[in-house]
Amino acid sequence: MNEHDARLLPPTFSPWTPTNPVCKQIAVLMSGGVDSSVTAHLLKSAGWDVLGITMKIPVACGVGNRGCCGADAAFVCNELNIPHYFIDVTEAFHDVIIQPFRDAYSQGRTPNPCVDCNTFLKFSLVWDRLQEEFGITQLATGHYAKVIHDGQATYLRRASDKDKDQSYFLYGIPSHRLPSLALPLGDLTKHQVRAIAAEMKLSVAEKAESMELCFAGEQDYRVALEKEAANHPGDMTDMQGRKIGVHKGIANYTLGQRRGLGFAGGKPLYVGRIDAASNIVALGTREEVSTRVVQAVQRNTLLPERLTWDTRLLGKIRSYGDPRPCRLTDLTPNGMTVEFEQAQFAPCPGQRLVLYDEQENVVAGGTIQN
Amino acid sequence: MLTTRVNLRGIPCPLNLVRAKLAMEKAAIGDILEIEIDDGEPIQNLPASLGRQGQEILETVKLDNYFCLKVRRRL
Repeated sequence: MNEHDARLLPPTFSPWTPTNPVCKQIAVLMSGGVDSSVTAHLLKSAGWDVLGITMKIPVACGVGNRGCCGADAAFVCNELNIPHYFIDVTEAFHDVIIQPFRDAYSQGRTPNPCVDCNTFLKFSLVWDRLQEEFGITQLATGHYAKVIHDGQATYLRRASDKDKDQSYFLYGIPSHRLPSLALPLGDLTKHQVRAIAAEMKLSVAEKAESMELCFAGEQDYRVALEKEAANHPGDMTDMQGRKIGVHKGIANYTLGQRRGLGFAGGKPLYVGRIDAASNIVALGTREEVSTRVVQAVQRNTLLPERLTWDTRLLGKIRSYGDPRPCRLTDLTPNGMTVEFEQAQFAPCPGQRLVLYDEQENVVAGGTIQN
Repeated sequence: MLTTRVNLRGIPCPLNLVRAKLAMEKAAIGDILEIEIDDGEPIQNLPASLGRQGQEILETVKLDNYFCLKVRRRL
């Protein structure tokens, strides 16, 4: 990441002139949505010197219903009377997020750009730059998860609102930075957050929640891939390799997908295998695309003492749903393999395996390989 | 109805949008802003962003090495 620059633009309104000591200064990463806006408000109300930061990323402004590069965030900061800066990470975002996203689909994997954005941009490049420029060591985001301080230990824990929990997306934070991360929304529900925004009369209180990739706007993510080579048609087979149809290009499919396959009636079929080299998409029954063993690479470990053979672990292989019981079966310097008590439906290479302990603390996470 | 000139040359995206919106807020409904912006990213983004916000883009004039964006405040 060091080859990329994160360039701070001039202050949007007034410059950063903190009055508190460094230990009470914090930067809030603001998207212009209600969650990060309320995060900034809560921290300011708690007596922190708050600096609003918005990443400038490569999006086409004014496309569809999309706003421009977080300009809303700047106006919220103005409403809250806190300084705000844009930080230009367009080059890094392209190289670290968009290009790997395209590469993954062209290789038949299902990427998770939000995890990579948190890990490589927010918690690394941007945080480094803020520390260099402003001396700020503490960072906050509007994610729904908790940072628990217990004596010398710090834990990244699931949010109280399990439906909103976003700890899955945060496992990649460098462990030395976790104690300096603040997640003020971890005990709140979305309804409560909107109520706070409304009470504060924030201009974004009623803003719709974005459900799309930030760099694909409000359009389907496949728009970002429409010119990619992986859109060439090829054979669709069953899991035994018998041809049963033709697919539209592997970039249009993800493991576990049922809709849009062109097969109606009979036993439901799901995408069970995507072979980029031979341009084949294989379909199987639910049983055929499920597995108990999941292997992950590029492991980041937050609680090494709990990543052991005899620890009862709970794993998630996708962002939604509850963690399921599993046990560690292999550990390599950069990877891990777990066996779930029950078969998991369609673990997607490129998505993440995140392990929790019984207190719902993130133990480790990695990129699914099998 | 007033016409106000706003110089946003040298101000990168998205800072120029914030400045343009602030200038727009100072104008009355129906007033016209002549916003000077740079070539490249600003001319690609700013008219679309202001248009999306409901402002009326009257014309875009290319001058020596910059553009003048004529916008009527509608909202």
